[in-house]
Amino acid sequence: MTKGPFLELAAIAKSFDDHVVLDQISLGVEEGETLALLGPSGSGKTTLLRVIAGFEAADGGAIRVDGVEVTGLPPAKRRFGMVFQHYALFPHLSVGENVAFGLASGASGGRSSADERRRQVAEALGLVDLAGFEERRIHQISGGQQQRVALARALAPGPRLLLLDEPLSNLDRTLRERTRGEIGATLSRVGITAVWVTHEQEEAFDVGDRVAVLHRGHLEQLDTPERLYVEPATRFVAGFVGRASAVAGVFRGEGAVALAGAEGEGLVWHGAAAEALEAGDRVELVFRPEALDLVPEGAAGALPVRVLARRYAGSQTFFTVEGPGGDPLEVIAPADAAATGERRGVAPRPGAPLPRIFKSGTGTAFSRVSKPGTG
Amino acid sequence: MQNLSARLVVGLLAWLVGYPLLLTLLEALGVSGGWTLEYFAQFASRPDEWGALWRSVWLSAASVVLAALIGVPLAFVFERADFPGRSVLGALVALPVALPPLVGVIAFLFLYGESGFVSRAVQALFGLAEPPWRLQGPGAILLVHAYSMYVYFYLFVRAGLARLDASMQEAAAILGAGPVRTLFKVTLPLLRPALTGAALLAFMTSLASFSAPYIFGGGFRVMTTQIVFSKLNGEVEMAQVETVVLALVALAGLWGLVRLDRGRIEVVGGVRGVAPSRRMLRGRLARTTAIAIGWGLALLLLLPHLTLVLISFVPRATWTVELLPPVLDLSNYRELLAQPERLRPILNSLWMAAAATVGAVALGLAAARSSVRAGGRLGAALEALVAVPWAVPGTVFAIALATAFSVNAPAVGRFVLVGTPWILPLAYLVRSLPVTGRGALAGLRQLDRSLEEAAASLGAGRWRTLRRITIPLLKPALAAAASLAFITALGDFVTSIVLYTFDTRPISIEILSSLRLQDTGVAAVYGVLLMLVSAVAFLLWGREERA
Repeated sequence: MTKGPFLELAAIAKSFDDHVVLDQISLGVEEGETLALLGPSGSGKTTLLRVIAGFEAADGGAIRVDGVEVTGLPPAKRRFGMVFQHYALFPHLSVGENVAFGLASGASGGRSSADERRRQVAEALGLVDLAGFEERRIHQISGGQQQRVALARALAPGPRLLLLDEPLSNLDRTLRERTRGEIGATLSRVGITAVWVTHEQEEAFDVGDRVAVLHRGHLEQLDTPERLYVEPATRFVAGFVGRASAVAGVFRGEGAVALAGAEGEGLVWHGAAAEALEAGDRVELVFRPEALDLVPEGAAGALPVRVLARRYAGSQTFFTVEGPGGDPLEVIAPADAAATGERRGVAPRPGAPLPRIFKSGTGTAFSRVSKPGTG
Repeated sequence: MQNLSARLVVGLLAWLVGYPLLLTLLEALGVSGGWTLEYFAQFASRPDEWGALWRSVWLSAASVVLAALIGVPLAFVFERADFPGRSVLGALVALPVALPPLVGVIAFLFLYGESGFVSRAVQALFGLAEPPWRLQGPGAILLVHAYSMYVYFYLFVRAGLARLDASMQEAAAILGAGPVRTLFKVTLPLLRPALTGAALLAFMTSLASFSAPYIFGGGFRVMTTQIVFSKLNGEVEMAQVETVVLALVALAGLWGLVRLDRGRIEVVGGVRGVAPSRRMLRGRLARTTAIAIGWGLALLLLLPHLTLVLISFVPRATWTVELLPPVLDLSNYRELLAQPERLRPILNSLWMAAAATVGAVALGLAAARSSVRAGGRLGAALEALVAVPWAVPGTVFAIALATAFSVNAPAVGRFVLVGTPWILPLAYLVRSLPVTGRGALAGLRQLDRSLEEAAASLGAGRWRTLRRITIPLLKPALAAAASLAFITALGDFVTSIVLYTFDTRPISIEILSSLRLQDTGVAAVYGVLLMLVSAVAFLLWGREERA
């Protein structure tokens, strides 16, 4: 007999002026787990976080924490912690007063004495490696330190759930990676359940025990990073999570796809159907770059292509080749496999996970790059 | 070369702004007939002087509190809630600030005074034999102050709320703070710069306020009226001592409030969260209430203006005991146009205000330019000199100018200007310097210095650069400052009453004498004219400010 998830969202719906922002989102987060909410801007991820926090009221659905419904509770009564995108540290209070703010309001279950509060502030600051910073003013500390104060302030009252709204978007790239690791370590040390909103796949994979991918208010897939990457459930996830290229064809049944176009004449490749398909459906085979290989032109089972570009990235070399129908394909191959302009063949790499097969026209364009911003 | 012109400007400003104040201090210390503290001792020994000082201070403090109590909630309502008519009402609410103080005061007199509309209505309603109240004393003064000064709080707090980072309030909420705690621990502290700014403005304005205490004060004297009465009684030295004391109180108030502000505000730069969203009032009851309160309020605020217009149509001696004036016609307006003596004050005010504005803009621009260019101590000195007439009440300046320019001693920079047509424009000019100087300074600080350098590199000389580049770019800032300076000078009463001559009497003085002659209709006509010109200038100013 398993008990339900610690945080449970049931059919959360939200619209702004007839525009559906959240479409019946249901998901669960286990106790101590960090769930990354990943999606491009406008996907609804920030709205979902704000609904969980209580800043926005959902039009429908329920939120339960530890089996108890909190849907109608005001934010102040939910006993959640939140790290805001721009930290929202109170500029008129010191670091210590910021961290103590939640302690005094009874979020930790009652008024604590001054000594006890001081101890809790020191403990929270110690947790983020800022021991002794109590008296500093907010404008006297760096952006990275402000970030950590925001985390300490959120954690100090001992919240049941921690919400993080793109907590790293204000930091520069190098600091971002380091801080990511630090926050991750702090979260697992405290053992708190967390929901972390981000638009960066790398960040989501790094911090999330599981990742929920949102797209236009839809929950596309909720899975571990590995499964998201290898077995994307939708065409959107396949394109948004990791790099991918598509080869068009016609489904022949049993995972077989006859490639389309003059170049693909007579070629049949195999994949795993990601959705219900019937023979004769127009489909796309979606490959990760490492699941394709460059082979000599005219090799058996290979698609004839021309090398458009070669991008050397140290540990790997990416080749962009012109595929059938004009959509370029991305292939990882040894650095000396080809030069720009040469003709080669492309074939599925033996032993790689099977490419996923999706119905044509069910997803968004491929090279869609997520932009920073609120989702 | 540049330093030379900067020094010239400093010299000119020091002569116009600093020198008269210094001379007043020296004369109060008896400089011409040997140093003495006798006048100060006299001041200290007279209880009525201490009383006036004390009344000035508490009245100003009370005005600040009242203005805040009206202005701050209004700002929250108009910034946080949304209801039909919000934007129109939001603009109307700021209107009292555009009314010249004396005009506001007489409008209050016509509305709430013994024979005003409201008291007549109350008298008729309850069948009273006597008017129900007398609009006199501190209560009446406070009423006028609250009416005109809540606008500072309203405008400042609204701007502050609009800039406020919404995630601050959300952060407080999720940390468990309820609405009250969030308001007092987060929102209000964050609004502190706006609140202290408005408090400073309201305090200084009411400390310098003259029209309301003069008309409604009666025996209730404050420092400004005390000074003018001393002067009229021929107690010149006492007036000078009182002037020095009031100036010191004003500077102390300024210093105190600026200090209160310092070291506590730390504006955290960088990106902020989502702008706070306005909450549309949805409930039928809430909406109806908001609309009713909003329009009721607008009517209340506009009543003085409307009263003034109505009174201006009431012919002389036709309205005695009736509830509403029985006759309305244009006779007051006709009288004004037909009698050159009646028209004279208007022409006087117009040319004096125009001359003062042109001078104040030119000098303000010169001071701002020199301040920005010279920088350092010289720049700071210029900035301070330009700001002094703002910090010092108008009455103080009037006495100081009367002191400095009633003696002919060209060797020490003193000329007889008192009694000539030049003293009032000069007084208006000095009083407008803070507005034009600060406006030019703000404009220049935003101006990209490289634009002037580019003009120079293209072969334009200093004059051409100024004419073709700097002034056109500063035009919005200067136009806004000029219109504000113009309406202040046009409606001026404080300095005029000390310095006017019969031939150069401005509108305000004529309003006063019309009132004394029971010529309320004509007084109202003057008031309406001032109101119209001020409203036009205010609208112009608002447009330029936004641009």
